[in-house]
Amino acid sequence: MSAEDEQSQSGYEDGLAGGPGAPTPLAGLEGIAGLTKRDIQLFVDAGYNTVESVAYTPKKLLETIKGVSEQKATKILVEASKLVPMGFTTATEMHQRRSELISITTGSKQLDTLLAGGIETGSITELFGEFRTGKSQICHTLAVTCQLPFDMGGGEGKCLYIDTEGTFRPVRLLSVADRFGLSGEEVLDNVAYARAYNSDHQLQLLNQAAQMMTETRFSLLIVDSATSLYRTDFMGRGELSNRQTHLAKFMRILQRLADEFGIAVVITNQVVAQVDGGPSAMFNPDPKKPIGGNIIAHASTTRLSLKKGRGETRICKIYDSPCLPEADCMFAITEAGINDPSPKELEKD
Amino acid sequence: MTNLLTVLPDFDVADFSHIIPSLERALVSTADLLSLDALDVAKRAQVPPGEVKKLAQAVLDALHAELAQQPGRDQDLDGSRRGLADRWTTISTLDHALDFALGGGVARGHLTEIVGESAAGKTQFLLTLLLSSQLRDSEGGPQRSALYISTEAPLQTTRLTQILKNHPQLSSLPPGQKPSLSRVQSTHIHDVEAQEHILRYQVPVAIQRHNVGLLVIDSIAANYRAEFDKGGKSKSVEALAKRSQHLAQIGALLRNLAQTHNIAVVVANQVADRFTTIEPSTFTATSQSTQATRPASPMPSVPQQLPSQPAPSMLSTDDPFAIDHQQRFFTGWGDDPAITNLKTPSLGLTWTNQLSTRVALLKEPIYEEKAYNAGDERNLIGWKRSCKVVFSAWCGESKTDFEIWEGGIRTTSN
Repeated sequence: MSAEDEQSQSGYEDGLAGGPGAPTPLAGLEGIAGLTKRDIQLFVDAGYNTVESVAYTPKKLLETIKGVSEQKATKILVEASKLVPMGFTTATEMHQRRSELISITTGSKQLDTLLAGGIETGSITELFGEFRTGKSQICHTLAVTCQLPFDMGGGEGKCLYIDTEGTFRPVRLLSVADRFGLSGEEVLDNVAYARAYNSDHQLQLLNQAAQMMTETRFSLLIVDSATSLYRTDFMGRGELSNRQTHLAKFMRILQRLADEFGIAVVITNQVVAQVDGGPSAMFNPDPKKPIGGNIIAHASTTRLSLKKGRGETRICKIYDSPCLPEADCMFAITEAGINDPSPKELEKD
Repeated sequence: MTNLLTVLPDFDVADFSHIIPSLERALVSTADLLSLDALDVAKRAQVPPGEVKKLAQAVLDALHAELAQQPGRDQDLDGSRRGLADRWTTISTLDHALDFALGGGVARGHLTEIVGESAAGKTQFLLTLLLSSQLRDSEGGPQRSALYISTEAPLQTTRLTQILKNHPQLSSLPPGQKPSLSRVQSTHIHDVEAQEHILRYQVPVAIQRHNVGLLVIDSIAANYRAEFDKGGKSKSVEALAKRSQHLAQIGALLRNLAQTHNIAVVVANQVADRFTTIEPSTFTATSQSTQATRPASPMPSVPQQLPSQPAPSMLSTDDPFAIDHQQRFFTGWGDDPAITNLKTPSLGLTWTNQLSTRVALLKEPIYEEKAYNAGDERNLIGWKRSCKVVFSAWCGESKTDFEIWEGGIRTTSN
């Protein structure tokens, strides 16, 4: 395997690179594929001094340089791409990087086991269920646990909480903080809270979020709930297509934030009863479906379905995940956030 | 020229650099140049006709030269046929029944689409392909690597390791022949612009550098769905037209990559819900028949006869050539009247036309069999998945049930 690795690495050295990582001056492309000194000068004058800077610039931008035609831009891009190391990484390397990814504990051991460690950073996790199934409770607990040190299953980062339903209760955070031995005041300081009032506002908040994340370390972004404003802002089938595009845009930005900053993104989603499920639905209603349609379904990496159990227990089921098997488990909502159900409650089941 | 670059990327324009800007300004396309009279083109772009003629000839020669490069052209017919058969290689899905349904697996040199709703098994299917594409063919050629371009979630390497460990066909291989994660190259894309940039400039280089045999894009639709704003009425048509053009170009690019490097290009696609118009045809049909039958048969038995008229349900619209009716044959959903939850692959007909093969992964819920109280939710206990070949250039339509397990995907016996 190591020989293979070397082989794949050696490709980078064929070029004109002066050493590993050293940028190549753009003049190195002169004479290749009919690129003249004058052409190169045009790019240098526009501020593109290295082969790398050209290779990673979209063609559209290169075309805006004065004197550069589409042909020339394409040509120099093709040649530059041949020389620089590409954006591709091997899966081995990714695997290594991903194994360093942390998961944020949910507070319940059972739930953590189901999720293979907790809420995964770098991807979008969606929680959906009826009211009172514990969606917001999980969010509140996560807002605290994400601040825990790594060895306690936390993310050592702040939490950004976007609230669309007005269900955020700082008091709940305090009781959860008590349980994990954190100072309540600090915990509240580390949660950046924003209330979104309409879907455009919700989208806009993400831009501010990105800005904040460049300044300090965040480990978690919560949107509770991601879809409720869309339900009221867009009405009926006539606006459905607009709603879905808007929603898709929102989800794309979330995914980008998750990738760029390595944060965990948790969104909650409401459910609807299916009304047009065909004739059989009249007698045996189908299980409630999460809203947001296929857009949300495709965009979230892990989807968790929450259901009420007996008493304070709730059932969490993996609905969609690229690496977890379909399974379910029980957890409990307690005074101090999400926890394992007491043995007594497990027996009752 | 407005589209000379996409038609002939390697065409040397140095000799014609003096007239091309004018042609570009006059919006003369390559097709115009070849099909219209040189005089007309010259007049439109206000350039010397002699030069236009020369350029047209050069483009023609370049196009011919591209044809001549195809293998087996100089050989006799038999030889060329053998050459084609030799080139025909497929990437196995590591399951016999699935391979059989797909005519050997996913073909190299073609563009294949895997479409399905969320959690249908698209990514699982693709991950298996990533590993099996590295297997040596019968002649024991060099192991080829795979490219994985993700636009949704990044490559699930833990799952990839799990499949590698658990699939009997993979785990039994000697270490030297075993597929390896280091031969899977991956990148993540966030927007259409980066997607275009990487596909056009980085992928061709990567294919040559790493001896790639499989290019996977998971998924092609994610970026398009978010970026082409449908806005108002007039804007939506414009955006749609722009998107179609873009898709056609990407499709052509991917097909070219597949053919020139003889690699399999497999893309995942998302789905959208299909909305039926509130069937005006059925309504009018029933009301007409009631009006027609009322005077003739005053007997109260008439309403009972009405539901037995099957005619309106056969056609979803009046026009059998309308896309609403035709789409059931190429989308993968809708030709089975039992399915109520209809989906449509996103990106529309334009994208469908780019494909050699479309494979739809369907999933149906399985509910617990028991007596339910009225109003109770049915208990969902699992999913039944099936792999459906919707259309293909090399194999027939079929439907195979499969399941997802630790070692990837496998067919179920019943």
